[in-house]
Amino acid sequence: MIKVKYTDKMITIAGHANFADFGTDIVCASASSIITTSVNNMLALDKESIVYSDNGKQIVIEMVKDNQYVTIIFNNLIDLLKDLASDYHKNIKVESEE
Amino acid sequence: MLFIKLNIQRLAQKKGQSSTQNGRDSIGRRLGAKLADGQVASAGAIIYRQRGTKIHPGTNVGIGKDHTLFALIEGTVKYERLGKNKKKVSVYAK
Repeated sequence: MIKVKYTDKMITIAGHANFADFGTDIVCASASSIITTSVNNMLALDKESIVYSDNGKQIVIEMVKDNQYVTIIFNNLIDLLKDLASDYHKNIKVESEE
Repeated sequence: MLFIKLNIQRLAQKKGQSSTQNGRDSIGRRLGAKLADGQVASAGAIIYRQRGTKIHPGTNVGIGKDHTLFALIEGTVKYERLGKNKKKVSVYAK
């Protein structure tokens, strides 16, 4: 199961969707695409606005600078992952850490 | 400009680690002989647990609805042949 934990400034994503075998896992593909698109958009808007790290086990996205547009994308990322989790609750879980 | 590359299987299980729908089994039912040949059985004692009649009831031996064989009297357990290729178990009073 993909576990997503978020605060208003940071998102951590870990685990595997385990929806299907490698190469055919649509839940993983959706989550990966949502995350990659959002991160690239935030960095395109302002390279210093977020810190992105991926050690192969865990992805961390941290907002380090206030930027109104980056914040919109950041919150939209969380909403999209929640939306995905509502359909595939056995494969992805999104929890607030506040 | 792409800052991070799109890998749509980044959060998938690694290759070769496919999940399987199998991997379940029921607990063993501990079937088989509970009293051996020559042992003393008290009345009502279970002699043999089985599925179907691997072993048939002989003299002074009853059979339950799950084909369990039990002694009807107190006595010595005796496993015997039944016809050409079957077995039965009997209990003989001392």
